[in-house]
Amino acid sequence: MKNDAKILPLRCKNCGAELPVMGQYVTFQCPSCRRHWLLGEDGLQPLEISRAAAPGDYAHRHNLPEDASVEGAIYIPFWIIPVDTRPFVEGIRRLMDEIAKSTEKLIKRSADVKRDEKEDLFSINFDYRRREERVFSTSTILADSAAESDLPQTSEVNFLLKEFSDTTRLNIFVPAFLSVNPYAYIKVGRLMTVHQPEFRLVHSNDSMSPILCALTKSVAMDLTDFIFIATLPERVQRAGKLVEAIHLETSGEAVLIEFPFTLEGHYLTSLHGGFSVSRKLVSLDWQRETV
Amino acid sequence: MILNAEHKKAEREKIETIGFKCPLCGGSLDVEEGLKSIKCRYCGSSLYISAQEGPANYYARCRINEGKAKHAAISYLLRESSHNVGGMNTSIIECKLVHVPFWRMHGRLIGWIAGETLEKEMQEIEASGPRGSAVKRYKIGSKRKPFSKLVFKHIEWSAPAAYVPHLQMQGVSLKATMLRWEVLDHSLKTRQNFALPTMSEEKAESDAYKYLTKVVAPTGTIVRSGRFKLFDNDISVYYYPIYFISYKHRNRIFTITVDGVEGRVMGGAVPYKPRQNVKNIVLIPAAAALMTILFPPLPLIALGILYVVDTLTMSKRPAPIDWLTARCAAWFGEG
Repeated sequence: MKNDAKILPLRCKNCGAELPVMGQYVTFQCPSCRRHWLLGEDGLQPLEISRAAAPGDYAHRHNLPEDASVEGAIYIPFWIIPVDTRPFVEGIRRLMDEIAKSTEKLIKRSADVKRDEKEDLFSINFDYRRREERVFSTSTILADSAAESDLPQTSEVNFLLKEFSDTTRLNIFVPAFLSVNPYAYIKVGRLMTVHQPEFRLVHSNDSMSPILCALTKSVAMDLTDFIFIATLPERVQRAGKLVEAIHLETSGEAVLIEFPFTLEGHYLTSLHGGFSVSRKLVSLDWQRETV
Repeated sequence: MILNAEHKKAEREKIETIGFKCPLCGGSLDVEEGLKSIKCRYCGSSLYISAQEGPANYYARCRINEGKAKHAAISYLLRESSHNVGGMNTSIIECKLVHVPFWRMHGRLIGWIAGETLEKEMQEIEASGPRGSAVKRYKIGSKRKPFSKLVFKHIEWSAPAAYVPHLQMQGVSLKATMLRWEVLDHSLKTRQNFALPTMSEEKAESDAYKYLTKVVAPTGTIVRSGRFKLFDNDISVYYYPIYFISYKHRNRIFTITVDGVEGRVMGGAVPYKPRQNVKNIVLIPAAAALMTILFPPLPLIALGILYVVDTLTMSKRPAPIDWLTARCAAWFGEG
């Protein structure tokens, strides 16, 4: 308990210029050398940040050149975490074997109980009370075993196998914006991850617009599994053992990319994701956050 | 009505702050919790809050002096005992200011839970009627339905970090209006009384985790599986000033705790609370009067019999005056 919170001067590690105050955001751009910095657990770390160019159809409709930023768009940052789905699929197959074994065991157990009941019926010392207990146990064993083991249905496992057997790589989109409603991270992350948008990158180092990133890389990594779980259908989410077993393995370095959104009334529309969310979910007024 | 609404709005807008000093000009800064960087309001320089290793220590300054704390305790004692605790038999023997440690965890919790939810439903049952006919009857039964839920919420947990008798406090909140937490200067521990945390950080974290994961489960559900992750979480020790005032009343020692910031009494033991039995106040004098009318020495004889019965029951012989005082107290209430 010796290392207490400290307050330190916020300066660019490259040129020593004072960095602008960003309130709750963790990214800073040096006004002098234009480098980006990320404030993490180890202090300021250099950050490479890119922007997603306008999607092809949007650029075509608006006569925009390729690899161009969208004028007037609001850029919202996402941590993109590439994951390898192969270990996940192998895990599902192992679980499938477990289901088969446990079902076999269950059938055997049920058959044993039925045989015991028959023996009881023909035994000399017939005891009604004992027989009632036996009958009760036969009916409850199946129900109890299913509830206790909490194993998924075969159809749910097959659904996942079908969904992920063709893909080996998946990008998990973890929203990095600031929101008053923490559930916004799951909602926006799920919508982007389900869509798996393809995008071209343009470097944004020349731009001096603030990067509205409020999540560090380590936090984004922690959220990966949960955003993936959110993308699964509800019936799969209910399969306790299956979801508990989901642990995604990253297959590359997490990158911070800004995606263009357009403001239409009270909604923010993603040009890449093709969805709209309430404007209230995303805190865009960075100056207010810093006051 | 307007005042009430405004008050509620102000309550909602209360912001948690921690006191720091600018490393460049030494100016006093109030930093809102959650901010990563700020501007010094005195020298204008940009500053950032570095993440610390291990829990941070904060403390609230004591705002009331010993005299005020004693005054609050005496007022409480007189009020609670309806002025029956007199100065003759009561004296304050100790007034100690102790900074009591509390663990506090705050951050964000993401999780997924799955299990079953119990839903009530009307179930149709067949029963035999009066002449052997089948009759349909209904009963309320419960049906299990699978459920899953993704949770993502801001969390706040606090608990005493040490066992302190007579504490009367469950935790600390940073949203109290009058509070200003400051980073603890450890040299203060040599000059003032700081109780040491006896609950380890691991235990506090595990307790907080258990509590929070329990809180997110909806009511009426059986959670069978779950996964949780706490992030942006910060566990810190907060020292809160509390006066422990011990007083002696008729050879017994009692303690009253007084909040060292707001000066209000948090709780305390009172020798006895007056309770008056209205029924006895009427019935017993009436019975005594009736007995006097019938035969004047009868009340004295009745008292004598009662004294003998009480002596035999207690298996010791109290002084008649003490016995009479105790009896009157039992009949008519203390005082």
